[in-house]
Amino acid sequence: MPIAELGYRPWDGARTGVMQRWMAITRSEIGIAFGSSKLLRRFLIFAWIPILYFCPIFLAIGYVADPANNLTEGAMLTEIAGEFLSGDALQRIRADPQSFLPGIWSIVFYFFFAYTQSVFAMVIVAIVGPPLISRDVKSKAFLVYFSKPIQPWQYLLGKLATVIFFVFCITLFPALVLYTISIALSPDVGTVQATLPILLQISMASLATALPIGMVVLLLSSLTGNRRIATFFWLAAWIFGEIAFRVLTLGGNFSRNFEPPPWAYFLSLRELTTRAASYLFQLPENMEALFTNLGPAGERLQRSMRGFASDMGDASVIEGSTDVLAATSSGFPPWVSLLAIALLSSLSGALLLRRVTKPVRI
Amino acid sequence: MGELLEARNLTKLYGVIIGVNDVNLDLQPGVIGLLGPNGAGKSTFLKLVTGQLRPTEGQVSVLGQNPWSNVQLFNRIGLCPEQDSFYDNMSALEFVTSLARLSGMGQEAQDRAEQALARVSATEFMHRSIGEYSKGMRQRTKIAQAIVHDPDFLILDEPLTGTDPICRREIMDLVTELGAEGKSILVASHVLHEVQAMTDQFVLIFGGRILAAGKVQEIRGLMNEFPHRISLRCSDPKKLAGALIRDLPIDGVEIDQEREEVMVLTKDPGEFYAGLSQVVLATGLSVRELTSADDKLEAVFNYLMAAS
Repeated sequence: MPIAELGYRPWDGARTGVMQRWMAITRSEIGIAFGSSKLLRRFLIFAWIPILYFCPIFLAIGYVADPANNLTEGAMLTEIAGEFLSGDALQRIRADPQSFLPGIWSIVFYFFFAYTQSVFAMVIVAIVGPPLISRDVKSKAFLVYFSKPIQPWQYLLGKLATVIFFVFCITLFPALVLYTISIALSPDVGTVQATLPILLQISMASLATALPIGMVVLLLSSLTGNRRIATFFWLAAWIFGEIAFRVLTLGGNFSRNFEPPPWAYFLSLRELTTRAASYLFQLPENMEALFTNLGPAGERLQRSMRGFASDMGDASVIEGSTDVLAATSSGFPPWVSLLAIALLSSLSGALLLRRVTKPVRI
Repeated sequence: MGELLEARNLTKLYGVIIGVNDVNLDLQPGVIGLLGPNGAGKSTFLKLVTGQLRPTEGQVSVLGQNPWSNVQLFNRIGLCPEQDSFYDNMSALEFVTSLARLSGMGQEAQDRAEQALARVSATEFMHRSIGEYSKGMRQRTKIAQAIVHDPDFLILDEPLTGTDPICRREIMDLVTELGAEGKSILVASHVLHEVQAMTDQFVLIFGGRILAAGKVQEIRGLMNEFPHRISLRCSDPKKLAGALIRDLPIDGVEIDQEREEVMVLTKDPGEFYAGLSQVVLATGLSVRELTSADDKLEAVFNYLMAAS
């Protein structure tokens, strides 16, 4: 019987492309994070709970918007939709769902991102991000990484993609589930076509959330070999920034004419990402179009959105749709948030590259 | 294969501290020991060779290419660093597989990782977390990641540090086997006899400078111009010293009555060792301990420094 050769053999196989190398780092980091943190696994499940709140809203809107559905048969869904839409508005939407649904969906997705998932994103980054580079600083793993055919930027991309993946797990992926449910209940195929841009909005908003916080947390992680210190830095930056922002904008709760200093918005990373999301979901345009088209019939929808925003904690959204717009554009236009995010990410990326290549720049 | 490594006036300064000082070196493919005491400049030299540091002056070429920022060259180089750069909650298989993927392996990465781990006798523990590993297991894992992509040139930095005798033997055998298969290997160490068991070709580095490079016999030849120091301990060092002076080729003797020690200086250690047992038997003394102070690499360097 021949004896099988189980040992090491020369290798001359084809190598994967340069763009795939960073994925090896991401793959490995995701495995480590899932394998080592029970907290992460539990939090990922917890972060999907808002779906239970938003899903019935999408179900109800989808059901009542379909003229083929009998409103008395689906009494429960009609009742949920009735919280938002008065009889007249409902009839207008049922008459022309493709004109109204994309705008309504965009607005609800914005609320999903802005009021729950953006907070969860900050938390999940606090769990996943701090050890990503600090562990390599501590163990001098750069030496091993950079003895392989990868560039420092690929190393960073691999680490960043890990953070982005976990943020997507609680922003993009549940949003896609919500979208799929909504599509499944949409009146006709035309709705799919009309709402396709929402997919892009969801993806861009998820990226606008994940990219800056990912870059910042990696930068903090690269400053120390101790993951606890990196976690502390991150939580301190987030919580103190948020408190400072809230204090500086507190006057908005008492006076409609109050104008906080524009720089106050830059203190809160979460506020920046939220405002960027409002820009990407075209919140002002969608709201204006919706309320203009529905006219007085949309009064209940306006009231519901005000109440929704207030319940979710945005105290500045107090009066009418115009105030919702004001809340997302006060201080400076929302696109400035997007620019600020891009600048913050670029600056963090440049500093990160310097930190990572420090050992070879001696 | 042409030149393995070529250095011309290679210098690395850390501010005012000299890491590597005006090194000129040509190495041909094969197994080569890079020997030097701690702080001699071995690590700096290896970092220059692996492109992880840029020379302050001069140049280095590895496998005919400049290693600085040359990512493609790492397809042909395998580095086993001195430090343990692991994630403790990963298994050796996961660790080596992920690094195989970084080297450009696709689907076959895990199979290759298993083969590399088998090659270093790590199959038994490759599924356990690295955090539970002994030093020897960690060394094997590091070597496995260095050979997983089948490099032409393997660089091992202190591969035997902290290993037990069996592991040490296995790693030495592995280096010898890889060398016989045609791989070029540079083994950095501060322990002479360990490297000697793997190769007879050395580069000696000290104070950032290359003291000597070549076959062991050539270096020994240099050393033999200077007396070797051999220590013997017995109950009557005076009597032993007298007999040794009378019958063996000795250049000097130091006696320490308190420690019951005779320190012998000889330029001909071969003949000294050959006749030693005869002389000791004739005196009727019992020698408790025989050590060569020259086993330490520092002593070798002291000789060579004096010679230079």
